[in-house]
Amino acid sequence: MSTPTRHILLVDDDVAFTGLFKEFLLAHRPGAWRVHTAENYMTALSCLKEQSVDLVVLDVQMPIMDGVQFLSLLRKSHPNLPVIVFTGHATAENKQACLQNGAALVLNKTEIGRAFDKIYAALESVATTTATEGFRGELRQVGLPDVLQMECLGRKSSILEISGRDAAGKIFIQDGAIIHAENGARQGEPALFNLLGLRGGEFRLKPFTKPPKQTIDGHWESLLMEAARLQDEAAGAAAAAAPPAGTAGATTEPAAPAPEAVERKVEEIVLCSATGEVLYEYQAAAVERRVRLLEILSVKSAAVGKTLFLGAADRLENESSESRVVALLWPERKLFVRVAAKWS
Amino acid sequence: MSEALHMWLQQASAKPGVLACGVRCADRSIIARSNHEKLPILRIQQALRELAEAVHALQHNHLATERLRWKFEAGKVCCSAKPDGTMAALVVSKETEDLTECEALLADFLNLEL
Repeated sequence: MSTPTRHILLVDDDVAFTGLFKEFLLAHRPGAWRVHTAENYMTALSCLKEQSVDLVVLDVQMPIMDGVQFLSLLRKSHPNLPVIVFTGHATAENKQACLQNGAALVLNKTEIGRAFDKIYAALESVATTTATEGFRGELRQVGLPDVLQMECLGRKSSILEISGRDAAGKIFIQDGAIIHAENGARQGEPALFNLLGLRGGEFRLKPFTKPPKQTIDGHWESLLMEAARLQDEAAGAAAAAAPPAGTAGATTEPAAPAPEAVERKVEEIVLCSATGEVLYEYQAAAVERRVRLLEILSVKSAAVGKTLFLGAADRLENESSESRVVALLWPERKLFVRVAAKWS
Repeated sequence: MSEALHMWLQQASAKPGVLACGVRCADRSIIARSNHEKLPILRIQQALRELAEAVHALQHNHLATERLRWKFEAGKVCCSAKPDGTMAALVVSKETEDLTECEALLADFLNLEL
C-alpha cells in the first residue's frame, strides 16, 4: 500500500536554504512530500489557512516577529500541528525556549548537508506520529474537571477514557464541547456526573471518533459546575446520613423528605484568562464589568486567604432566592456563572 | 455594642468548626472573636475589611449578598451582608463539611436589629 503524500510547510526567509532543503527532501523520497514555502510568518499563517499541512519546519531567526512568539501563536491556532525548528544558533537557551513553546524538535541548520538521513528520519517520525498513540496521565492533584477544562478551552476534539476503582467510562469532546458520555449503562449527563464524581483513577486522551449519538448539549462550564454542586451535595448527604457514635443497633429513623426539586437555568457566563482577556461569554450584558468584578474578587480573596492562613482561594458561591452565582478564582482562569433558581 | 450583637457573636464563636467570627457595622467599626491562636483579632479585622470590599463589589454589580461562601485551600469563610454595609463573617475549618448551622446563624444575623 503506498504511503500518502504528506504536506510540509517550510518557513524561512533564506531562499537558498529552503531551495536546498526542498531538493534534499524530494530527492530522498520522491513523491512522499508536497513542499510549500513561506518567506515570513504572515505568509506562513495565510498558507495554513488555505492548506492543511502535516508538518511545519520553521526558522526562528527571522525579521519582524520573534520566532519563539510565532511558535507560541502557532501552538494556539494549530495545537495538533507538529513543528520542527531549524536554527543556525542552537544554544541551549534557544532550544529550551523552542521546546517549551511547542516545538517537537530543534535542529541545527548546519547539519543538513552532512546528516540529512538522520534529519529526514526525525522529520518523518514527527510528521507520522498520530494521535492514536494517546496520552497517559496520572491524576496527582489534577482532577478530571481540570483535564476536561483544558480540552474544552483548547477547543480540542478527543475522547477522555477514564477508569477508576469503582467505575469506568468515556467522555466525548468535540471542538471544545462535551457531547456525550458513557459509564456502564448510563449515558449523557448522568454518566458524565458519575465519572466526574470519581475520587481518583487513570485517564487516557484518545483521538476523537463520533459517538453513537449526541446525548449532551449543555455548556461545558455549567456542566462542570453542576458536577461540582452534585459532589458537594453528596458529601453533605453522606455526612448527615452517618450515624452518631454509640448508636449501634438503634433503629433507623425514616429518611427526611427530599428537598423541593429546583429547576435551574444558566443565565450568564463569563470566562476570562489570568490577564482579563475574555475567552468566552454567554448572555453577559456587561462583560467588562464582570471581568472587573472577577479581578476584584480574586484580589480580595487572595488577601483574605493570606491574612487568615487559609491558602489560595478556589471559589466564591453566592446564593439567594433569585439566583446562584459561582465565581471560580483560579490563577490561570476566572469564571463567572449566574444561574436563575426557580422552585418547581 | 448591642446586647443582641454580643449574644450573636457568643453563639457564633461557640459553634463547632468556627475558627473566628466578626461583624462589620454600618459605621465601619469591626468586632471580632477568635478561637484560634494563629488568628489574632487584628488579622480577623483586616480580613473583614477585605471581605467588605469584595461584598461592596458584588452589591455594585447588583448581586445579592445574603449567603456567601468562599472556599479556600485550607478552610471556608461564610458571610452575609445587608445593603447598608453591615456584614458578618464566620471563618470555618476545612474539616467542617456541613455549613447549615453556620448559614442559619448568618440568616439570624440579617434579622438582628443592631
